[in-house]
Amino acid sequence: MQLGLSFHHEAEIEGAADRFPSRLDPKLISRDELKKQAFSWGSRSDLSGFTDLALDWLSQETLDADRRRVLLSRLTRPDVPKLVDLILADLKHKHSAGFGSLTVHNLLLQDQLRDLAKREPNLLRQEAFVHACLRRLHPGPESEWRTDPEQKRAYLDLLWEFVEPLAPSFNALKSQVLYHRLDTTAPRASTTGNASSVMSKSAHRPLRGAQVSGTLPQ
Amino acid sequence: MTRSSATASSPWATDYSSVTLLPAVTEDESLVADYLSQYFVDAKDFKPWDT
Repeated sequence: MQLGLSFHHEAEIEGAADRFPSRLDPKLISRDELKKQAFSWGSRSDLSGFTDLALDWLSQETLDADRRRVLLSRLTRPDVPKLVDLILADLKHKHSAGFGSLTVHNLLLQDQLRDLAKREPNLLRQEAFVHACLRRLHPGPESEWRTDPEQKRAYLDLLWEFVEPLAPSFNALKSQVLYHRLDTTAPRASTTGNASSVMSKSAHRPLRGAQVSGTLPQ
Repeated sequence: MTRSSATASSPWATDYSSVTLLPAVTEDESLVADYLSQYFVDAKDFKPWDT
């Protein structure tokens, strides 16, 4: 007693019936069962029963419009299965606030933006979408396009290739890009003394996108 | 984007620098003058441009 020792271990009696379970029922901890419970939490239109870890596989589930919107609003990465399908379906929903209304819209990768534009060409008439595409054309931090004339020209070519076919509502944007394209060749015009040929070449210069990171137009 | 003092109908009224990374352009007069001065270097007269 002074040492505080205790010997409460029960004696193991062979053949005696188990009074307590010794294993978990797989059905109770299966994904389907846990999913059913999680869906029953909160309101019928939210996903409060799920943590963010579940969002990846939830994206492959069939969700109603409200829950799909909640799922998209919680995403913080673009590498989610079927993301383009989900966004497209959400944008077509009557209560959609349009492209750019959700954080994940501006996280989309070039291929995803291109896929969206291909499947919903009207997006190319929306400023938020066009701007998201332009941001994806930005040269990477390793690029020296601001000081390297060739890289700058390649970037400007890339920009021009993207903005040129846009609707007339983007003419101001086109003017700005075209101005910089012409501005980069203007010094050369003064040295060659043949501005008309320089301008002509500038307007039809082939794409040299390999020197910058962007490759959106195709 | 921000609006400058240029008129709203001007192509230079909107600053796209945040999406293009390019400095905002406020006017194109000097650039046009540069190009025109090159056009006129070898020109004998202004007739081709006289509209």
